[in-house]
Amino acid sequence: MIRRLLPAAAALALAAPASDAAQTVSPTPAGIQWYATLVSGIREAKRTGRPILLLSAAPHCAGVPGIW
Amino acid sequence: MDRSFLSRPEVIAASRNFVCIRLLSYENKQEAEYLKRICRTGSGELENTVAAVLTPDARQMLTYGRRGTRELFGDAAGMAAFMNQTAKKYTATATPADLPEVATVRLALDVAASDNQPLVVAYGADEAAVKTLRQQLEKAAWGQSFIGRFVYASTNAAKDLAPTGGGNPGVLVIQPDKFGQKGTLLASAPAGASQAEIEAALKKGIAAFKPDDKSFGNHVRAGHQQGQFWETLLPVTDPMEAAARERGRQMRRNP
Repeated sequence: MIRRLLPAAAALALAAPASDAAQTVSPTPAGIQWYATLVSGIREAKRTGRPILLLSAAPHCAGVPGIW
Repeated sequence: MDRSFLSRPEVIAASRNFVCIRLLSYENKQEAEYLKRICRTGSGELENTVAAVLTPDARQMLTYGRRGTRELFGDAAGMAAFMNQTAKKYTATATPADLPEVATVRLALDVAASDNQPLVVAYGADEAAVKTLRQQLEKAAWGQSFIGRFVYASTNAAKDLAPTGGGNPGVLVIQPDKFGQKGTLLASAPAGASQAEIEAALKKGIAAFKPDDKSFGNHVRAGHQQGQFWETLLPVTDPMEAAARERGRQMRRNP
């Protein structure tokens, strides 16, 4: 189902191994690459023609930073 | 936020055909107003988390706006399947190119700690120097070696780097502490470094990074005991989170 947004409202890997992976130890796997601002993300989506996965979250819990 | 979905390989793979935007709740007024329109809550206020899928021009929603990915998709397999089906309907006209920066170094350090990833800062003496470093990082950020491995920020203000011990202008790869309030330098490339030197610094940072083995309960408990508290730009309007924050404040006042 598609809901239209007001135009004004729109204003605001699998992790493939690196080609030289043998030379680099990766302690953590590659994750989703996030745009962190609405303006930059929407700009890139329009430019690239890619759909948008939009999330919001707070990088703190019960006031304690460092955890979503 | 339901991290279990977002760390699944099938979801990560599907994300490569999307522009993935993760906004920081309560840190930007315009973004907060936008999120309230995306996901209408019982309280009428922005609550901690929002999830939705939109068209590339952001004018139409392809899902309802909900509080999280579990409400939208049920499970990770469902999320990946929906994303893959959706991506087929759009022809990508270009590959991502812009550096996906967090708005400030302060926020980025917290995000990096939360993501358990290194932070990369483009630190220049002035905005022109920052722009040059940013362009060099953009060439690296979306390649297979580095995509999804860093949180990024930029600055031309030395004071922004005080929590990380400062540094010389250039590309700085930083290990955040567990609360994202301090950091230590893992690797760097000076201003004027070649693309190869910058990428070597990024690889060195990845190799040197030590992920924090944190559990939710222990982390919050330790944070309260140590007086760690994050001040948001906007009031926290999620009722449950606001109550939890107040309990945290009480613990700080009465250890």
